[in-house]
Amino acid sequence: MSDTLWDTQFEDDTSLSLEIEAFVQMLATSRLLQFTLAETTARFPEMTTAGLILPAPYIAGGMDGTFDNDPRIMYACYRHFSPLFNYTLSSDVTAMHKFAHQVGDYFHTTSRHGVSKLVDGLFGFLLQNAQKAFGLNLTAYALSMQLRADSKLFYSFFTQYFATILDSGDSFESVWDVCSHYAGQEGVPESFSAAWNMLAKFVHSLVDHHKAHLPVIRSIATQEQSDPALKLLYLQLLNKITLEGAVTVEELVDWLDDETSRTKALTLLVSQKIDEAPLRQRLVDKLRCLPLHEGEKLERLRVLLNLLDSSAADTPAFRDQLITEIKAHFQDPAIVDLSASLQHLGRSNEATDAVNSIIDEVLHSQQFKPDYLRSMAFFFANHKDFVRFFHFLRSACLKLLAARKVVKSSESVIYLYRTTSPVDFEKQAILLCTDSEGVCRLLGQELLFDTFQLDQTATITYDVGQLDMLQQYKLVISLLTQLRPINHTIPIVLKLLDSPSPIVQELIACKLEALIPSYQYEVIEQVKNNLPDTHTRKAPLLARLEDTWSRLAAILHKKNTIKEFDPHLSETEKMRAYHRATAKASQQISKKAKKEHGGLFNTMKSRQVARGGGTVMPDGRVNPMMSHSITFTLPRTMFITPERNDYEMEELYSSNWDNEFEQWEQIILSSGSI
Amino acid sequence: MGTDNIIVREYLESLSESGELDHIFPLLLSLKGFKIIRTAKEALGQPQYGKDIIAVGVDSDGVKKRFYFELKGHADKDIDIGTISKPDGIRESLHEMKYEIYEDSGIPGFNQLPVKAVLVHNGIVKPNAKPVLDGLIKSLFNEGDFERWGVYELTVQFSEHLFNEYLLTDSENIRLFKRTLVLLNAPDYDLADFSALVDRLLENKADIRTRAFAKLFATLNLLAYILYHYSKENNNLEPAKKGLTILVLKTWAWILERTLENKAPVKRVFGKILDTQYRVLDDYFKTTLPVALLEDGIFSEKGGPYENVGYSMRSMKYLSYLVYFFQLRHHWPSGRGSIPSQVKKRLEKFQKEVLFKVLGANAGCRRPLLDRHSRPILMAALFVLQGEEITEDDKIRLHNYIAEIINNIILLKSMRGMLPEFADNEEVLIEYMASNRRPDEYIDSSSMLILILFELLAIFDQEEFYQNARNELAGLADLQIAYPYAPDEDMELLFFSGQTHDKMAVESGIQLPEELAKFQAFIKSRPTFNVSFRTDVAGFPFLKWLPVIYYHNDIFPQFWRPFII
Repeated sequence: MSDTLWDTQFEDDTSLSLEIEAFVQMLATSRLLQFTLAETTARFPEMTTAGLILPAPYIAGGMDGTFDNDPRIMYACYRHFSPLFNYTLSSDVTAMHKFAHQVGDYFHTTSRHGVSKLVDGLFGFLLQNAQKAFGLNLTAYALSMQLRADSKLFYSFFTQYFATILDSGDSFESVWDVCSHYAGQEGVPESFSAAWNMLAKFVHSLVDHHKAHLPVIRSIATQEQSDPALKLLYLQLLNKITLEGAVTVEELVDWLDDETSRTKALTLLVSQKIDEAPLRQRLVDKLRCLPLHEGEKLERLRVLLNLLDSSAADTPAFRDQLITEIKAHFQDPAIVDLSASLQHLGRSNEATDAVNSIIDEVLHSQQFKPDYLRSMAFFFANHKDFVRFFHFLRSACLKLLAARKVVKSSESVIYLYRTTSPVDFEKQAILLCTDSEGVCRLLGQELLFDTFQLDQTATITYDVGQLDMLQQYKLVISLLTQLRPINHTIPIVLKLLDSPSPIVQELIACKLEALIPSYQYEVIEQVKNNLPDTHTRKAPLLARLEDTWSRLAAILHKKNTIKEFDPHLSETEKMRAYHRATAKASQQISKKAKKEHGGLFNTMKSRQVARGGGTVMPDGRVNPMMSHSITFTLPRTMFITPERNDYEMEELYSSNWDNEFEQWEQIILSSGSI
Repeated sequence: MGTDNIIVREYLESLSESGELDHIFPLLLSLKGFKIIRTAKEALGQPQYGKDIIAVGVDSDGVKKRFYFELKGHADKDIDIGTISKPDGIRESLHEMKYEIYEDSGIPGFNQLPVKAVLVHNGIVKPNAKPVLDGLIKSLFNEGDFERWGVYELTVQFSEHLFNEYLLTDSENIRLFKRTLVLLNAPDYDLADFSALVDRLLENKADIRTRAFAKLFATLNLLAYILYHYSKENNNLEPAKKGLTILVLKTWAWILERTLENKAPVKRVFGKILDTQYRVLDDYFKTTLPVALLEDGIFSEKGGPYENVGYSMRSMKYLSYLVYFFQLRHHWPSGRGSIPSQVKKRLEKFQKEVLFKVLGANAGCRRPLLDRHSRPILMAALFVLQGEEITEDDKIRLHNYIAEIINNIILLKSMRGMLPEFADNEEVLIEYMASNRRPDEYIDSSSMLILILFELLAIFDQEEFYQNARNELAGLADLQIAYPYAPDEDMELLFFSGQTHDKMAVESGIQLPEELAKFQAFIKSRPTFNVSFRTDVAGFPFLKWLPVIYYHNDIFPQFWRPFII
């Protein structure tokens, strides 16, 4: 092969070249793009010295290695695979794209790791070669690209184009034409778009590259556009040159007066830093009077929130004015959906009572929708205030009367709070468990136990002994029900056996006894496992529970001695049908979850195997089969009267306990424990 | 000995319980033409002096004799030195047979008949005991005055006189019989082979005046007894209970079809089958009632989540059989068709206590999941209502039971969004319960059960509860009732012969008026569609519940509507 300029550049007999050739041969033989790092660096010392072999970044432990997309390696790849796929160097972009993917597919059959990186590297190498060896004009070619014709090729090409074109010496105007073409092909995105993100980043780089021509660029950027995609593109450009000072904030404020430039001005103002007090006041005054449509109102809110975030030096009156304007936005009945507004409010750095009260007002307003919860939680993600956050969760729970929904919609923020300060989190959750409102008690339990697996013992850091007697009493009654697995609740409640109140101690014993008909010996196991043998109350408590258990055990033994009621003998087909239906329902739930979380599941490939010993890896090692089963005790009584059980649980967690609390307080008072 | 005889021999050898041999041996004697004077059961508690059964018959020498049969089973079935010499052992029995003469002057000529002693045991003579036994026999009896029927002789006799007539001469019957025995204790075995075998046996056109007829019923009864025996041996009487239900039902349908229900010989032989059914059910409830009376005793810990469905289904079935057994007990075994009113009243009082205890202890009896569960509920209600005496306490307890069922239906609706499955489709019920998702095939847009419950409520005249229940349930389902409707056909025979769903006319769209009185008036205004039962006239009224239990046939409104005020 001697048909290109690049042959002469890479084709030599140096030891590095020979090593690279052997290296590519090794990759092709193993069909893997990752390898054992230590072994490979020892085998290819020249490449290692040249920095061509690198640790694979995403494999924990740094045991595996990968390689750099160096043109020399890409050339060796080209040399190795071109006979296999019958490819010859040319200016045909489609052919080089196809070849790069054929090489990628060659490796993809074995492992996905590193394939897309190799395809990008090889395609980029071939494009550069075509540009240099065959005079391919990338800008001209880019203008001919059609997204609909071949979207894969379109994105692969523009990835390479945006990465390399600035070094080509092409003018701003010619490259801007390509950007406009790209935006027109792409259209306006409905949500976050990686393609637009790439374009926006490029626009910044493009302006930086041509900073000397800012006046010319401004004249282009201020041109009116009718196409929505171009409008967006030109706004990106305007935004960049405004940040560069080519457009002033005063100008933007003036643009607000003009209906045609108002939207543009609002969007640009969002990212401006405005320090001068008179200008800030002028802007707020102007924003108050503007007739805006819903999209513009959101931008106005963002501007107001930015002003609020930077209002430390402002007068209290100005700050009050800002708060009033922001509140007015959330009370505006013309705004149909406040989700985005709440998200912006959540990102605000201001955590004053005033801002918090806005969230509270929305929660209790007529406009409130359950979907807002997720957006509202954003606010609390920024501000580590447990009391406010739990107050919000409680209010939301009372509003919706659905504890699980509240937890689900705030799960990322809950996770944040739980991990940053577990003790405070647990304390707040425990207090919710003793709330007078049933739905809030349920919320407390959801928050407290959400992270524990069913077969896991629940351990918390917060010392429940710090609770006062009445709270302890409430906690025992709240937790020791059939709602939660007892390996979650009993370990926590047992800590209250040290309570100075004998009433609390007796209550624990009684409630544990009451759980025996449901959980049988499991209750005793929990007490045995979670109380140290040295605990003075362990032995008498166990004796009492064993006594209760022995009575139940005698009954169960009597039942087990007869075959007539054994469903395994006379109802086997029905039992099988029941289990089949349960399994089918679980599969459907799993399928639905896959559909709903396509992003995560799409990256996973599942294979069915009919043996369970393990997996033989490409290197011959055997990984024992990953298996994990969860076993936990379901209360026996749950299946005796299932609906009544559900009803009683529902009652328990939907009723108000104010009256009960008064009675319990009297009990504890009369016992002298308070 | 052929394989078929081996089955008989193994069966005979396995009779291990005291009394088992006593029960079946008279069957053989009857079929051999013996006239039984006294059975072991009749002599229970009295000194028998080596004579468990006394009968008159013609010996192999053609001479009419009085026979003393001494039965040795259970631990004594195999003869060894120990069984010969122990107190009340064979030595003593043989001496008593020889020297304690049984006389009955009430039987003309009986006291003058020569005596023949027969030692019957369903085992073998151990080699080391043979010389001792032979010596003993020689010393006591003259040649021809004594016989020993061990298991091999018994096998020949039973095969020849009982099984060979109907059972062991037909290859298909043998196949069905063997399959029944092999699969008897297999999980979920539905006794289809046994059912087919009974059908085939009943195809025989035996004239009731002939011995063949007696043999047919004796064979049926022996089959029932074999089922009972092997079920008992496996400590699980469920197969026997089911088998006897099939046998009694099919036999009674056969009798009705031939209008033989009032013939004394027929009633006598049918009574023997009922006797076996009574023994099975008596044993069944003696075993299960101590458990069923425990709190949720019918609930099975082994069932796990399946008990969501299983507990109710099992409880309802248990309730049906319990009521049937109580009804059977009024006629069997002591009454043989009827018992004095005072005795019945005392018995009912005890039975009602047990019934209400079972209902109170088992939530499954109060949680209907299928529309057909109206029938066990009705059976329980009718048992109380039709009694000799219904006390205020009975009324309160029955009302509370109905009220709790209604509450559970309301809970079922509010917590799961379902009413009991209307088409009695167990499969979709199970699917719904297991998955918590309503299958397309699940039907609860109509209900007979709910209307029946309201009709039962109407009996108690409780306006307030009627109003509450009506507020919760009215309009949730189309309320319906089914009446027997089989013009020009024998409805009773159909009722006993199979499922009669297609012989029932349905009145639908029934509304619950705002006032209970209007509802009561409406019910009383409905046509009766009464069916007269020959079964009642023949003295077996309790049999009416068996088609309800086995074929899931409807209970006719004529049974409960007369109780509505």
